[in-house]
Amino acid sequence: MGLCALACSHALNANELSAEQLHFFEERIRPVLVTHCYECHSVEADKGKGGLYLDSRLGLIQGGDSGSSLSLGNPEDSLLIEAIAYDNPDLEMPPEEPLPDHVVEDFKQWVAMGAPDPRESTVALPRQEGVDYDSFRDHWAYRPIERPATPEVKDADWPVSEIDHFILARLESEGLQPAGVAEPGVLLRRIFMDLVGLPPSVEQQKEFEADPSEERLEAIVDELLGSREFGERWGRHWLDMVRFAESTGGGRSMRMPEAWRYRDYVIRSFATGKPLDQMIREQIAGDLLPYDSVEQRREQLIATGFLVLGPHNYELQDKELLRMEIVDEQIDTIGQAFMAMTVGCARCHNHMFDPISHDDYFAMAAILRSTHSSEYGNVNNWVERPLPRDEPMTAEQQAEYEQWENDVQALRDKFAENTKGETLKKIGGDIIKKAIKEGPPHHETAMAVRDAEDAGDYHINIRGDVHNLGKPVQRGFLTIASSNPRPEIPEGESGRLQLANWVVSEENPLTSRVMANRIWQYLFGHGIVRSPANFGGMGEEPSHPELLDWLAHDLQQEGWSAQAMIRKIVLSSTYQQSSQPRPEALEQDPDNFLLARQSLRRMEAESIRDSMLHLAGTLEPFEGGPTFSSKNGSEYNYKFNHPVRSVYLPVLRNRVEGLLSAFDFANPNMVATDRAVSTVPAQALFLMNSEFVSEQSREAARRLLEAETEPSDRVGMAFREAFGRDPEAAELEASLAFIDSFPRERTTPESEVETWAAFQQALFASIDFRYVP
Amino acid sequence: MNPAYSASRRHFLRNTACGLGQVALASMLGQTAAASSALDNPLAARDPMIKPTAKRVIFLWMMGGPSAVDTFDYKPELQKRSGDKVKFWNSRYREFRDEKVYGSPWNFHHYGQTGHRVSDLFPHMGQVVDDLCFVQSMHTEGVAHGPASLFMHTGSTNLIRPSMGAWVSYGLGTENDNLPSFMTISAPATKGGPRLYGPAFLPAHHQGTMIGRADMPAKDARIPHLQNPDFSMMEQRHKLDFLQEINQSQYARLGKHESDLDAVIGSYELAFKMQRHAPELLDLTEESEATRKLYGIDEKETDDYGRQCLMARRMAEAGVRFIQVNYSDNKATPMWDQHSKLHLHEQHAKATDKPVAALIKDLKARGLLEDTLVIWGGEFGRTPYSQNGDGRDHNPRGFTMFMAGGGVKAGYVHGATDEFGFQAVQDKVHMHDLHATMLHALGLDHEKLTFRYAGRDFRLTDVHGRVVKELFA
Repeated sequence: MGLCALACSHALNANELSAEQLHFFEERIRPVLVTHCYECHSVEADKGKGGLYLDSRLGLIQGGDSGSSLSLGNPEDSLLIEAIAYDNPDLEMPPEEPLPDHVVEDFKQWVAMGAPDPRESTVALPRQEGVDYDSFRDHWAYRPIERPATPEVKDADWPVSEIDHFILARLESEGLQPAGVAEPGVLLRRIFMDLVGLPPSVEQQKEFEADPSEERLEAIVDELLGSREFGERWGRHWLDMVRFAESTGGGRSMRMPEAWRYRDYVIRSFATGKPLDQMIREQIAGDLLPYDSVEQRREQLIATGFLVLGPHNYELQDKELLRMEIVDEQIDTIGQAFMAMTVGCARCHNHMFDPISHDDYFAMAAILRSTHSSEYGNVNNWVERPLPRDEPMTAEQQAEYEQWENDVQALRDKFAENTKGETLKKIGGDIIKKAIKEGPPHHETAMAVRDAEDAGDYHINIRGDVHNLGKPVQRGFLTIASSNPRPEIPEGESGRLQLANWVVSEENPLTSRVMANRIWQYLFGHGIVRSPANFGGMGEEPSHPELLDWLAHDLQQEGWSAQAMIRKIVLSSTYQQSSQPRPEALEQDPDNFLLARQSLRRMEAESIRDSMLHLAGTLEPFEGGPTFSSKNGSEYNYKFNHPVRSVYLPVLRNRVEGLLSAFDFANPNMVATDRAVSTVPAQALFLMNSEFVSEQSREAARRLLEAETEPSDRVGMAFREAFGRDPEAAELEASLAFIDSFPRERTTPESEVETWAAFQQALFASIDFRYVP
Repeated sequence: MNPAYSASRRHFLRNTACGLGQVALASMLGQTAAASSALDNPLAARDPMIKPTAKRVIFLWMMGGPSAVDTFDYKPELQKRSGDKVKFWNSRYREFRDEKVYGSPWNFHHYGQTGHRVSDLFPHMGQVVDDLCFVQSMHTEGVAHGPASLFMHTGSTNLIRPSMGAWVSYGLGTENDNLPSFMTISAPATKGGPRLYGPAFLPAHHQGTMIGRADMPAKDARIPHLQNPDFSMMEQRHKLDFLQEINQSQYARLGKHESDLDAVIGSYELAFKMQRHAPELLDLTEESEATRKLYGIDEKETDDYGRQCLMARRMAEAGVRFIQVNYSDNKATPMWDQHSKLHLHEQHAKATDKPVAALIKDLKARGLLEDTLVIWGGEFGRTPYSQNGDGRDHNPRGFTMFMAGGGVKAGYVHGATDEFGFQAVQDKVHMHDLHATMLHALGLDHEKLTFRYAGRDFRLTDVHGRVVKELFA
C-alpha cells in the first residue's frame, strides 16, 4: 500500500509531461539508462541487482535495498546521482567506468526537473518477500520431537535394543535381512577404534576371543567409556565440529598460545561425561553462567573460547567489516555445528531454501555483535581474560594486579572517547599490548569473551554490506525453532545467555537431533541424515526419521549423556553386524542407507598415527597442557615431533602435521562434521617414504625381534598387533618369502632390523591396517 | 626373487582392473591424458563447457604488489606534478586525504611494434611487449596483504574459499595421469599460506601440490616424500610388490564391492610412478645450456626465479593444468612491498625480469604459448603518492596486470587509470572479472562452475564477475 501511495503521488503520466521534458528524457536520459544500466537493473533482463530496477519510473522511485534512488527535485540528495558521480567509493555506478561528466550533469538537471519519465511499469516489480514459516513446519527437522512407538518386527530374535527394531522393521519392509554378526576379533577392534581410537592389545584380543559373551563385552565397553582415551577420541570429533585451531590463519597467521585450554576442556568434558547441553551452554555463554567454585568459573570461562577460536583475518583494515565478519563466522559455526542450519546464507538476503529470514540472521548477529570477541588495532587480536586463581594473592601481588586492571580500564576509557580510525588503532594496539601481550600479573589467561559495552539491538546490513544499515532489528533467534523468537533481553546484556539456553531448550527441535545424528555417524561412518551440518531443504533426508527422533528424545531423557547413547548403540545388533553384505543387500542398497551391514571405514588420520606410535611402543603419555613452548614462532618451521596422541599436536591453520594433512584431517577453518575420505598418491608416498612411518616401522620391528625368534612367530605377532587377527596361510608364506628375498644382506643386527622394518612398513601401509571392517 | 612370489605378482597384474603394468611403463613427460582413465582417477581430464582458447595456466604472482606507475603504466601528469599535494581516497582509513604526488624515479621507453612504454625496471620484458596483453585498469579488494592475497587467489578476503588452481583442477582435471593437476612452486607460508593453493570444500585432490617453498632455494625444490633415503629403488619395488600382494588378499577378503580399496591399490602404483618420474620433471640439467642461459640460471640475481620459471615450462609441457610460480617470501613486508625505499623495486625487477621474459619467449618458440595462458601480477598495486618519503603504499583501486598467450590479444592494452595512475577509470576490470576471464579462456563458464557446499552452490566469482571479452583475439 505504501508503495502505491508513493508511486501514485508522483504519478506524472506521460500525457502530463511537456514536450520539452519528454524530449529531454528521450534524448539525454533513456539512452544512457538502456546502454549502461539495464543489463543489471531491469525487469526485462530479469536482473535487479541490489533490488533495483531502472526500467520504469516506479522502479527508480521505489529504489533498491539502499532506498529510493531519487529525491525528486534534489539531485544532491539522490542516491542515483551519488552513484553515477562516483562520490561514494562504496557505490560507484556503472561499475566498469564512470559516465562522462556531461552525462552526469544531464542527470542532475533531470532530477532537478522532477525526473520526468514516461515509462510506466506494467509488471509488478520483484520484491523480497517475508518468509512463510508455516509452509515449513512439516519439514522433518522442524517438527517437535516426540518419542515414536517402537515398530513390530517379524524376526523377534535379532533385536537386542529398541534401536534394532527400527532398523530391522525397515529392512523387513524392503525384503532384506541383516548381515551376520561380526567375528569377535573384528568386533573388538571396531569397538576399540570407535571408542578410544587405539587398537586392542594381543592379550585383550585373546581374552575376548576366549569369552566373547555379552557380559564381557559390556564390561569392556564400560571400561572404555570411562577412560581418558575416550575423551581424547570423542573430544576430537567435537573439535572438528567447532573448527578448533591454535593459530588465526588468514593473512597474518598468529599463534594462539592459550587455545590448548579449550581443547583440554573439551577432552575433559567428554572423559567425565559432562552432558552435551551443558557443554553447549557453557561454550556460548559460560562467562555469564552462575558458578559455585573457582574451578567451575575457570571451566566456564575457558569454554567460551569456542567463540574466539575462529579463523580471522585480523589485519582487515575495515574494522566494522572485520567485526561483522567475526560475528558471521560465529553465527555460521553455531548454526551449522549445533543446529545443522546454514544460517550464514541469510546474511545478504532471506535464505533461499530454508525458513531463515534476513531478520533472523541479524537478530542473532546483534547478540554476537554485542559480544566483545576481538580487540581493535591495526592488526586486531582475539580477547583473553584472566582466570580466577585457586590461591589468594599476597597483598603486593593484589596491588600489582589491580594496577594492571586500572591501566587496562584507563586505556579502554580512552578508546571509548575517540572516534578517529587512526587514533583508535593506536589505542587499540596499546590495549592489546597491555591486556594480552603482557597480560595480567599473577594470573593465567584464557581465550574468552565478555559482553560488549555497546550491547544492544542492531540493524540489518542491506545486502550484507556492513556500511549500509537498514531497518533496526530486535535481538533473538531463529523463528522457525522457537516459541518466542524475540525474547526480552535486559539492558546492558548481550543476549548470549538467552541464545545459549534456547539452542538446547526443548522448544528447539534441532539441536538434540543434530547431536544424536552425529553420535550415530561416528559409529557407522554415516549419519541417519548424511548431511550432518545441514538439516535444511538442501540437506539430505533422514534414512530412518523415527529412529532419529527416538534417539533425540532418548538423548534428552538421559540427560544429554553422550556415553549413555554410545553404549546403547554399540551394544545393539545393528552395530555388531559384519561389514560383509549379503548379495541382495548389496544389490538393492549399495550405499548402505538401510544398514543391512556395518560399513567398512577408513581409520581417521589420528587413529592411523596414534596406532603406529602405540604399536611401535613410542607413544608418550600426555594428559594436556600448553602446546607451545613460546608464544611466537613461525608456523612454517614448526616441528611436530612430539610422540603424543594426535589430538594434542598443535593445530596450526596454515600448517597441519604431515600425516594428518595427508589423511584428510578436518579443515580447521570451517565446521567439519563430515571429513573427506580421499585416496591419493600423497598418502601412499607418505606411508612408504616418510621419516615418521619409517621410524615407527623400525621401532615396531625391534619389538618383534625382541619378542620372538622364529620368523613365523614374528609375522604372527605383527599381524595380530596391526590387524587384530592371525595371518592366513598364504599371507604367512608371502611374508616369509618377502623376508627371505629382501634384496639386502642380513648380516648385521641393523640390517636384520631394516629388513623387518620394511615388512612392518608394508603392514602399516596395507588395507587391513588402514581400514576398520 | 622368490618364484612363488613372482607368480602371484603376475596373477595380480592380470586380475586388477587397473592395467597397472602398462601404465607404469609409459613415460611421464609427454604422456597426455584422455587415454588412460583405467584407474578411476578423480583427476581424469574433463571436457570444457565452452570452446577453450587455453588448456592451462601459468600464474606468476608478484607478491607484495609491484607499482604500476613505475613499470608499465606511464603517467606524464604524475611526473609533471611530482611533489604537489593532491586529495586521494585512503582505503585504509576510508576517507579522502591530502597526499604528496611522487613521480616515478625511472625512465620509460617505447618498445616493440606496439610501442608500449615500459620503464627501465623491465628491459627484458620490454622486448616481449608485443606478445603481452596488458590490463591497466585492474582493481581489487583488500588493503592489507593477507586479505588481498586471499582475494586474488580465492575470490574472498576472509571467508574460506577454494583457490583458483583448485577450481581449475575441479573443472578440467589433469592432462597427465602421472602428475597432479595443480602445482605451486615456492609458495609462501604467510599472507594466506596454504589457503592460497588449498581446496577448501572442494575434494582434497584438487589441492595444489607444493614444490619447494618460499625462502628455500629453488634448486632444492622437491615434492615431499618422493624418496625414501633408507631403501634402494629395488628394495622399494620389492616392498611395494609385497604390499600390493597383501593388499590384494585383503581386498579380496573385505569385498570387491569396496571401490575405495581398489583406489588404495591404484594410489600405490601411481605413487611409485611419481617416484620414478617426478624427479625428472624437476631436473633442469636436461635443458640445453642456451635455455638455461635464457632464463638466467646460474646468474646470481636470476637463478632462483629462473629455475622456477623453467620448471613451470616443463610442467606446462608435461600437461599440468594450473602452475603457479611465486615470487614470494615469508616476511611481514613481502618482496615488492616498498613502503619506503622504492629503489628496492630494482632488486625485485632484476630477479624476475629476465626469467619472465624468457618464459614468454620459450613458450612461444615451442608453440606452447598458443594454449598456455600466462598471467602476471601482484595482489594489488601501489599508490602514486609517497609514503615515508620515498616509498609507496598499497593501492587496490588501480593497477596493472598482464596476460599472454592462451587466446588473448597480443600487443593489446585494455583500460586505463586516472592521470596519476591511482584509480582505474576506463574499462575497469575487477579481480572477479579477471577470474571469470581466466576461466572463460579455459572453456569454463564462471557462473556454471559451481560446487555445492553447506546447502549452496559456490563459485570462484561468488555472485560477481564479468568475462572481459575484449581481451580475446
